[in-house]
Amino acid sequence: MSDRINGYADAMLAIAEAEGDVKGISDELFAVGRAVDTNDDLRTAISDSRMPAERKIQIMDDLLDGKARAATKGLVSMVVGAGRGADLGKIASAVAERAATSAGKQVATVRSAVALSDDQQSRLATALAAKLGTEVDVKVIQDSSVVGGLITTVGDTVIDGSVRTRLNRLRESL
Amino acid sequence: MLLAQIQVIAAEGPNGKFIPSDPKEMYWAIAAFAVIFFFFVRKGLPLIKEALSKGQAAAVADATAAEAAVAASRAKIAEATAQLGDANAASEKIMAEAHEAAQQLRVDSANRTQQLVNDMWAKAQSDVESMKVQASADIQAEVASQAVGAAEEVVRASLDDAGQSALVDNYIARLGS
Repeated sequence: MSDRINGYADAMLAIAEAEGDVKGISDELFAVGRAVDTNDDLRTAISDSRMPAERKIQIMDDLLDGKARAATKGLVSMVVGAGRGADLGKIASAVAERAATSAGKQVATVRSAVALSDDQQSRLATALAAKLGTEVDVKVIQDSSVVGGLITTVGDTVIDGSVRTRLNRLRESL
Repeated sequence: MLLAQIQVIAAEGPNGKFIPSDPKEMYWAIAAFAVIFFFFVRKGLPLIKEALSKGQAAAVADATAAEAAVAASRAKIAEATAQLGDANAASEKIMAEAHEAAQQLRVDSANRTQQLVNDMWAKAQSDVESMKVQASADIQAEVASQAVGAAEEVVRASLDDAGQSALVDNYIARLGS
């Protein structure tokens, strides 16, 4: 991870701490980062050097209007306005990792074909904590390519229980 | 007798003939002739002999030189004839070698052509085998892809919210076990 991304992540975490809502802001930033990473058109638009910064900020404001905290919108505007929109996903992941670490946890990135209920996320966090021996902060990424089941990544550990992987194994065996 | 006749003729006096009328003139003439003859024999004859000898020697030398030249010419002719013979032999040898080389070249060319044909045939067979294997693998992969694609479609269609939730719950349960 580059120094620039670490610098932005440190600064944004400090702002979230100053706002007193690290969990909420980091979750929202993570969701925005995932949206940018998975949407090519959006990523291209906020990375376009020919487009004025005000226009790129306006796009993100419109997307987050009524869906995110003011502090989250301000942080996103700061990154996009600085011309680092393409790095927003990496910066958001770094912020999530720092927020989890500051709370004595690890980030568990969970890819699922469908959204998980709060109960499922809670039970998943408990099960992961019991298995890994450390508290985890579950970050769910909705990804239809998973087809079904979950793929959890904690640090270098990947726990794959997805239908996609089973289908891939079936393809290899054939 | 003759002298007497000469004296008679001479005694007739000037008679328009070449014999002098005075016999003394004749004696003197004889004496002069004798002196001249003496000097001729003593001096002139050796000179003539020497000259003739030199001429003969020169002629002999010339003849010898001519014979030598003839011999040299014959030798050169013989040498040229020998060289011609050698040239003919060399020519025949070159022709024979050229013929042999051409024959060998023909054989080598035929061998190379045969080898080339063999190699091409072997490569063609290898390519055909490779293509068979590749085609088989491609077909297998395509069949697998189609089968998995169909399976995925079936799974997606059959996975409703309850099914998705069941898969998640099953995953969480297996984590805890």
